[in-house]
Amino acid sequence: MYYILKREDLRPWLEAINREYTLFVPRTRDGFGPYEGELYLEGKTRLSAKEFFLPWREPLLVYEARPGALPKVVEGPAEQRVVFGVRPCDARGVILIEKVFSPDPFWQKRREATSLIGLVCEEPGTECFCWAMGVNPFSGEGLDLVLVPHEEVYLVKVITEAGKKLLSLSRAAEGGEEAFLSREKEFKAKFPVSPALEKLREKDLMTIYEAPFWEELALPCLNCGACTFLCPTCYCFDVQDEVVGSEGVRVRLPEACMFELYSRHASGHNPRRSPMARFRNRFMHKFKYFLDEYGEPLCVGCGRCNEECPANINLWDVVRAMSEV
Amino acid sequence: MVAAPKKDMIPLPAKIEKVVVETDDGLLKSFYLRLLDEEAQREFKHTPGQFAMLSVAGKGECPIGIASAPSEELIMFTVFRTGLVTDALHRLPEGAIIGLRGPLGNGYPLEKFRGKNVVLIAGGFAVTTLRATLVYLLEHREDYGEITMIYGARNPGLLLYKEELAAWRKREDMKLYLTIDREAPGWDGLVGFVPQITEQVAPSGENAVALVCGPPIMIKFTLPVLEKCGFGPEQVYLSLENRMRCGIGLCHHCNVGPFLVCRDGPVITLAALKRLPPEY
Repeated sequence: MYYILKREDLRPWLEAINREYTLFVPRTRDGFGPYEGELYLEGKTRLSAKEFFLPWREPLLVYEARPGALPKVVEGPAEQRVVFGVRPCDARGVILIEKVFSPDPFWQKRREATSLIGLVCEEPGTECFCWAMGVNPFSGEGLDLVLVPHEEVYLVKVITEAGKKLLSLSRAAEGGEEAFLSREKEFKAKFPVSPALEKLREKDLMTIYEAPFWEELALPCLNCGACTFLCPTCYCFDVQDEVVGSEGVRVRLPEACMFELYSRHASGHNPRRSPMARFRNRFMHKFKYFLDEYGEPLCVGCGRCNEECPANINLWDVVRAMSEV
Repeated sequence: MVAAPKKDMIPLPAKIEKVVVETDDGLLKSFYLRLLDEEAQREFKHTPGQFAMLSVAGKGECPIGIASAPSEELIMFTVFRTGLVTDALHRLPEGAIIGLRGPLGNGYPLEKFRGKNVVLIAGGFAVTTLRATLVYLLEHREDYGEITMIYGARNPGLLLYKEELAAWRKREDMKLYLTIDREAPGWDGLVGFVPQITEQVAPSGENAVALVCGPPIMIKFTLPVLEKCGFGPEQVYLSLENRMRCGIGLCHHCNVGPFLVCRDGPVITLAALKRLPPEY
């Protein structure tokens, strides 16, 4: 089902959604927040939509900090949320993480309670490369609705029933299928999947792992972890018990495989002691381990890592080296 | 009916029924646990080689191999005091309540070992899950061929399960070789490192499997001995450990290349291990 929404009808629609649901939108270049009028549509946000499903703090248990106290299980959030302005790359990130997290009750609860309205970029980015990683931004994968900015309107494709219901709050009119499909066709013809992926699939794991290029490519890496926190597909987490006064809580927090502590045993032994080993592990996970196990790379081509890396490391230097070793 | 393995990160409350100080240095204690929920306790079924996450509220969780056999009433863990959680655990008295999540991981394929000779090789406190395995094997004695255990510690005071060792030593249907690293007063048993003793015992690799658990240095020198004895890499089973947070394949801390110790292990054949990056 395809619809056309005039650009000037976007705001009234968001207002209408906000009256019935808790609506989140990209508020500034930094990230998403509750809708209060601010709206940033010029490009993707620095922080991805991953946060709606893997939040910065996920309490698992609460307990009274005294011996013998039984912990109480935290009920995950159940409030129905709508997130508008999710880039298709970020939505694909959710789908990739879900391949691992689908059995997790906290993940499930957040997914069930959240509707995603996607927004395709006005122009293909110069810093990003979703197509190279096999993302078709027009597919609507992981979304309930997908909007394509087109001349003076948005072309809208309905993906789910929930999406249809949300769209019914707008002044969108049926139509635009032809324009939508031709935009999609044009995009796919112009922006192919990277041939590196096929090469990576065929390469032997240990050949890539043992290749000599890692030392050189990892040299500038500070192991700061910025790439992992900004990445819409990085899902590793830490678990911490926090006690304040007589209240204790066990929380799940985002974690980075770039950190020395990530893999250090209580004995002090660390299987990935060197910064290079940790750098290598991150790329091997994304472009070999995950690719082999799930058939797709753990990357959606958003380019955030390239843009924000303080050492100016470019993902493609690594992917190219891995695929050509 | 065996309950499906829990796929969430919520521990079940368990009571410490009994604590045994196992070693002279006091750094190893065995904790005998009973789940407070009677049904959960009844349904707790594990395979030797599996582990569980033990948690002390306010400190955190850590993975520990299950040292009790499936037939034993209480779930037992022998814990080395070394980090935040194990330190807190060691301070708890009998009767205290802790959290338990498990069983997790794969365990030893004991069905596959039927009809074969089984050689258990343990160094230091890594003997725990092999204790569980040995108890199981002895309970199903007729299903297996010769059973040999080689177990070494730095000194006699660091050997675990001393009463059981004495009983196993007397058995005619298994061979137990105990060794310590250096001569010690009052010790009339074998002296020497586990690899050397394995070389002397020279178990045959024919129709046999070897289960090896110990510190990396012991494993490194034991593997070539086993190869010489005729054990192929498919016949040697190791148990990996890595830092982990979830134990159920989510957090990715414990990965050895594409292999997740919690989900695909901890038990792994030497043949499979040789195909992985050396990140353990």
